[in-house]
Amino acid sequence: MSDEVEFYKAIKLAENFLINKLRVKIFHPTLPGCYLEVDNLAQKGKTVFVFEGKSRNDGRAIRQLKDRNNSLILFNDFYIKICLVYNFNSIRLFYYSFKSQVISEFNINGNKIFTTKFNNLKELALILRNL
Amino acid sequence: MEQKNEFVILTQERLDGLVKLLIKLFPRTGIKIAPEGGARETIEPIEIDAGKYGFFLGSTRIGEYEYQLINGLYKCSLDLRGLPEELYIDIKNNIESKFPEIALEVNTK
Repeated sequence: MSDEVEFYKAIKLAENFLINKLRVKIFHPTLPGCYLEVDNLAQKGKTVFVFEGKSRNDGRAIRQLKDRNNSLILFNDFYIKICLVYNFNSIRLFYYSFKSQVISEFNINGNKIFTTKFNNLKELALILRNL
Repeated sequence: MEQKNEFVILTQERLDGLVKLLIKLFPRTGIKIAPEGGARETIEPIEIDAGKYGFFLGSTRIGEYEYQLINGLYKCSLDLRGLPEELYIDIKNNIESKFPEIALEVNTK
């Protein structure tokens, strides 16, 4: 089973997300006809959560998260109109790895806010529940 | 001239083909195409598939193209209100030759 499907299960187990979407393609913020794929997109209250499976290096990971953040900000109204997400006023960006069993949050400037370890899906669900 | 067209496309493949054609066609005519949002679920069953593009000639907005999957059909709207008539006819002919299922209006006012 792929990492994003495992993560989808963990979000479901957390039980307090309004939206839990898997492998959603959203428009690239500047390139016509190009999509970006978000591994897991979720929403809790007025906050949208972008979760991406771990990339090879942090620099690439941050660039990926920035593009997804920009698309959600730029096309905010359209995404609400097509019911991709509900009305939101903040976006939180995360990277996860099932191999190293960590989940990290980044801010839009590319700074790591926190990293937490988990041992199994239940622990991950508990972390997600408390975000 | 007001040129707003509404039509239905049956498959995602045809829908993507039309977007690709517009992206290929418009720069040749001097029109710039700007993405204005869109999303697609890649898992079955597809719940969301929608997109919007704005068209600009210089800094003037001359139209837009929008599509959305509703009850298994792609409802599309192509608005080229600010386009000179000759250019509109050229684009219309190009689209209709590759997409015979689409018939674009010609409203001359």
